[in-house]
Amino acid sequence: MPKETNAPRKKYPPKVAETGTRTIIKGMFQVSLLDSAFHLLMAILLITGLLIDLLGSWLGGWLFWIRQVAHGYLGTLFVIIFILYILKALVSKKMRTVLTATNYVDFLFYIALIITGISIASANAPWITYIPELAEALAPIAAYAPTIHIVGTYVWILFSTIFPGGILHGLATAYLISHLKKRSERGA
Amino acid sequence: MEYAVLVDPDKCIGCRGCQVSCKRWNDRPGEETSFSNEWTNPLELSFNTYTHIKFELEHNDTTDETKWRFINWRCMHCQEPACAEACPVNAITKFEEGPVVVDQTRCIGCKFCISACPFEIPKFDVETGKVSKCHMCYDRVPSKEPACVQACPTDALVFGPKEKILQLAKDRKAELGGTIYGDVDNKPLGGTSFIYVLDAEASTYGLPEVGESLPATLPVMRYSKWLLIPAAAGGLLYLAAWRNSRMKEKEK
Ligand code: HEM
Ligand code: SF4
Repeated sequence: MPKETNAPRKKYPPKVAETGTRTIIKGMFQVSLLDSAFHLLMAILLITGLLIDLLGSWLGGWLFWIRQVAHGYLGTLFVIIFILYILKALVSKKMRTVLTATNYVDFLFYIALIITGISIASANAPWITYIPELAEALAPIAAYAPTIHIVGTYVWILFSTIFPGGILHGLATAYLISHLKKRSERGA
Repeated sequence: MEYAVLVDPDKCIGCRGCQVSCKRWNDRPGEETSFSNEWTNPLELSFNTYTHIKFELEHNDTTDETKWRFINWRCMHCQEPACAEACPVNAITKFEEGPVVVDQTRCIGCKFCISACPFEIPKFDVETGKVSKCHMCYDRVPSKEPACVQACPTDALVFGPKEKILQLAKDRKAELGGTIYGDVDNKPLGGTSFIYVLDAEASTYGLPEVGESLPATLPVMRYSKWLLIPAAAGGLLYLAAWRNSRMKEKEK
């Protein structure tokens, strides 16, 4: 719940308020490529995952490339970016100071989604035979992986909107960025 | 009308005629195989191999006798297929004649059916990005028997109306003194359209113990999307509260 405060309302720094959405997004990538890639990929995985689960019975085979490229290949990239992101959080005190308790719970959800995602992707995949240790470690969850992956996604969405966590934060950020010009014109 | 296939391993001579005719009917390429300690060849089912004969050699230490068991293995074509329940794009259909068929044009290669199948039947192919398995020759039945059945020289595979097949199975069980797997004694996932009549326990043939109904994880997965309703309500409540506090702030 947002707290009421007597502090004066923040104004956007003049340069930020004057720039457009595209420049802001470009700037985000310039400030931290890792941070932006992490958020962008996570949003893509969430949207494409929901597309498969919610619209699968209507869209059928049209979702093939969404699964293969946007969720599969980009999912692999997300796993790498997530590992780098966690490593950065471990070494950077500055980053840890901005992370809230909800962010840490969000990380637990990502870890569950990543482990089950890799388990789903590895079924009958030739690459898994080259990593027998991973195959052995994933074997006990193979039968439940899709259920944990999907239920985990919805529980995360629920958690995230109630507390509020990553998803509301993401929606709010997208809203703020897309309305920056209007707000700056109003002198916010 | 529902049809079924009776599999009678006691009559099987391990000629692999069923394996070959399945390949020919479905126009599937052969597998690159290698030497192993096993006689089963290819060792596993794959995207291109829908059926194979598992060779098992049993040795009795007291009598020093050996016994071969040849088991035709492929999709069981369950009454309540776990694979179909798991599929998010409804690419798998159970037909009233018996076959459980994967529609390759709908399949998106998500592999959920691979996790769901207790018999480990559907197989993924990296090149096409799709899943395949035995389809009980849905393009032949019921006017023609499945290709594997037609090729069998010893009637170890018999195709017919399910009622007739069940009667045959019961008669054979009386002769063999064993068990029926797939129906009657043991009904995995509501019963199956391939029914085994065995001269020993199902576990002797390496057949898995599978419950009669779908595992609870599948409906949980299917209906978890309803959690979006409380999530949306929670999100809206949060936004309303936030808006309220902003209004109050502005009034001040
Ligand atoms: C209901 C929603 C979801 C569905 C239906 C779904 C479905 C899938 C499927 C079918 C795969 C296998 C992809 C392949 O083999 O090519 C997969 C893998 C994966 N998923 Fe999801 N997913 C969902 C939500 C999410 C979310 C929210 C995330 C992360 C924030 C996520 C992260 C991953 C990852 C990291 C992989 C592994 C990718 C790989 O290694 O190739 N998924 N998911
Ligand atoms: S054996 Fe597996 S693939 Fe075949 S119908 Fe049953 S659950 Fe589906």
